[in-house]
Amino acid sequence: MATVAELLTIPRLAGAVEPLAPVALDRRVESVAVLEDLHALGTPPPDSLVIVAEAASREAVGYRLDVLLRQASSREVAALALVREPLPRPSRTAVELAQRGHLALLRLSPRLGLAEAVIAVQQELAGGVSRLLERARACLDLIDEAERLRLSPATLVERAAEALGAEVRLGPPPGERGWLSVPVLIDGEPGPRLSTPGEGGDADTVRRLLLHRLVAAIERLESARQRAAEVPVQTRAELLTELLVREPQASRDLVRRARQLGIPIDGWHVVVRLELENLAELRPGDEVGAFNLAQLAVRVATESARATGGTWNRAGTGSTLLLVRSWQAEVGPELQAEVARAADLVIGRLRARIPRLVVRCGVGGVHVGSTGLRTSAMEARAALTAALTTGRRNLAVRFDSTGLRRVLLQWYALDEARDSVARLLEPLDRLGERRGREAIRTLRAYLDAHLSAGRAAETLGLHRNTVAYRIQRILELLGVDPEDPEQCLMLQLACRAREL
Amino acid sequence: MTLGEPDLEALARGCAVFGGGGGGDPTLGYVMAREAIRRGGPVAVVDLDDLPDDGLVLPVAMVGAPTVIEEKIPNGSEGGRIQAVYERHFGRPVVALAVAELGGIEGMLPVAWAAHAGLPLADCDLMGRAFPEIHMCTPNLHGLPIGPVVVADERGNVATFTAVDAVWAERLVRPTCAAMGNCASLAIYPMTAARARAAVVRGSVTRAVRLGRLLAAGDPLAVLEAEVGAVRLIEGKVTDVERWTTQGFARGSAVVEGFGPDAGRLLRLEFQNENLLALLDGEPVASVPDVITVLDHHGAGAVVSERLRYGQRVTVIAFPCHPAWRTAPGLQLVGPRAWGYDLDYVPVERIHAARA
Repeated sequence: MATVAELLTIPRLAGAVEPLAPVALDRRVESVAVLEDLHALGTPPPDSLVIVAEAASREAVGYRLDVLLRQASSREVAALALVREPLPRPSRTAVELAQRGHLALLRLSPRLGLAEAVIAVQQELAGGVSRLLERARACLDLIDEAERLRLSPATLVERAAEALGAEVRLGPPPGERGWLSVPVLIDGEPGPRLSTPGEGGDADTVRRLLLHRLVAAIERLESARQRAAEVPVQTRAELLTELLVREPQASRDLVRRARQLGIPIDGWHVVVRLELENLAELRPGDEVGAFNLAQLAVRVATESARATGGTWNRAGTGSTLLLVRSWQAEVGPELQAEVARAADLVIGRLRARIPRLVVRCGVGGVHVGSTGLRTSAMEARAALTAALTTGRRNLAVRFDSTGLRRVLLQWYALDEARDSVARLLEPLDRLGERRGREAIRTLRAYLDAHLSAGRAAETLGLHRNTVAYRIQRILELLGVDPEDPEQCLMLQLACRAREL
Repeated sequence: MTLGEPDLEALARGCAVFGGGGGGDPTLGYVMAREAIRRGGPVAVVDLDDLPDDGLVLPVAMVGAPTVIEEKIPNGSEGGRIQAVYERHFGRPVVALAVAELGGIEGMLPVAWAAHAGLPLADCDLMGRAFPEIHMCTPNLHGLPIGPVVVADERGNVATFTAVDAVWAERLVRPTCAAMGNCASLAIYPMTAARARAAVVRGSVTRAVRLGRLLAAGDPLAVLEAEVGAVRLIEGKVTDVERWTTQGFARGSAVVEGFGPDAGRLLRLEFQNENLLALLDGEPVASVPDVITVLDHHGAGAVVSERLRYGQRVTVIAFPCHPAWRTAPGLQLVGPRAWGYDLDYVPVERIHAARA
């Protein structure tokens, strides 16, 4: 016994049967009968599905269908299936009569043989292992197709559930008793479980075989999906790595390509450098295992960084991983702390996924443009070196916390130092708050770029001549010679102290 | 009786009821008959017994699509030209015209032609209702020859057919009618008064006028029950009308959703010009040759099938046809199976009694 709605999901009838009106789909069907002649309805068993043969179905239109429906409902027929090519919508009277008789009105495609349709329905109604085998066959076909079309695992599970006519879940182990469940391994690591309710007996053997076949398909599909998702990330990662390694002069082309790839290279950046210290020790003697683990670490780190929000790109090779957080709009240096928190979270996730992993982490400052990106990377590296020397593990160490900031703060706390800075920058302060701040920012970029107006212009996003002109004005106002190392150092200290 | 201008409205109303959805909208026929009577005076309606035995009686009608005639109006001279052909053919004068088909405009135009010709109108017709084809006439059941059949249009064209039988006549006339613009005037079954007495439906015109008068005066349903033995099939709203063309005929079906005492019921009406079959909730409750007529729920006027529209409030009635149609040859000619309906004919009064 099955409802009309359940019969509509029989795999062998898929796409070949449809309800002509949303009527009586919950009606239970007990048997199936064939009607060859519209006048010979006779007395079919109650609650039967009557399939009207093709020739008779062609006649069952207009008033004839009305008459047939009236007779069928008076004889407690559960459903009438007309074997027709797509029909125009059934008449109002037909739908009304079907509704009154609580009788489902279906269309069966003539492409499906009548005998096949009858057998499929009969098998479904009979239930038991033969019904399950029939559905399992459809499920196997579906898996083959899913692998060919590279459907997503979620879609595959959904369709498999439909074909099996049973619940199939991909997720945590089922809480209920009596469920059959098989783990899914992604990159050799245990992931979710695939489960379906069991009924006991031989049928469960078929179900377990199917679950294993489904799991194998899901694993393959998931790996393929991850590889596909990695390709653009990989390209971006390689480009960024190269950009960070190459000399600035040689990187013009790389910057252009980075823009083309959608890396917000002209924005503001913070680089997080992660060193996975003991990766090789975790899989001693197993190179493939170590490689897989490294891949997993890279993926987990990238995904968990992205999960914290914002734009993240990755770079780096081997056990060194660089994560770059970028902003299109200008941001303040205080956002470095936010990135450091995100880095801590990434470390936490990595260690949760790969227990016993030791991570060292340095976080650079906020800098702008491609030069800024390099600066932040260098700072991250310096911070990481500081982390190494101070023995801090599994913790994000900010570049500021390397000591410069602390030293600067201590120095600037002295009255003499404050007086010196105020005296030195006084001509700029006289320009007014906004222009003064802008002049100091320009000066710092120029000094950071080792007195290159061109690179300072790149950092500031200004034209080179504008920067050159401004620097000339500033130096005139200040009356200092930046070529003099002492004056230059003092200027740098003054500029940085002002930003504290 | 004499058919004057005051009687025309009653005749039109009566013809619409007997038309069973066919015969076309009587309005145009009414206007033409009124104009003809104003010019030529009232028309005498005579019983066949009052005509000389050998007097030539000429049944006349329109042939073609009822919707076309409303735009392609006859000029009134068609009757005269047709009459002249017969008088030349038989070598004697026509003594009376007759209504070929008692329905809609078909019942009215012969009055106009009779007034033009100054001839009386025989109190009879060939169907007792309306049917779409020219061989579906009672004289056919009596073996009377249909021809010669004369067809005329308003341009002055006249065609004469001498066919071997009625079905052939229908076959020949239909394309000529199409060539004439899908609407033409014709005369069929020319016969002497003596032969006509046994072969036609007698008293049709006076019956239609009487029914029309009573309908205007009293409760239409009670009048119809008393006069023609009508039964009420449903009272409701037209909720669906479908039309399609098959084998050269405009066919269709309409659904009437019951209200008031019939709430919850659905009547399906199948028509081909005339209403042919009514199924109430999937069960046949009336079929040809019995007359199924749709009445306007408010005015009680009959609604011809081409005027059926979604939303109309209607009462559908059915009443027995002329007994000639209930004989075996009659049913063979115009019974449900003749129209392709896979049903045996059951007289409407019997169905109604069983349901009650």
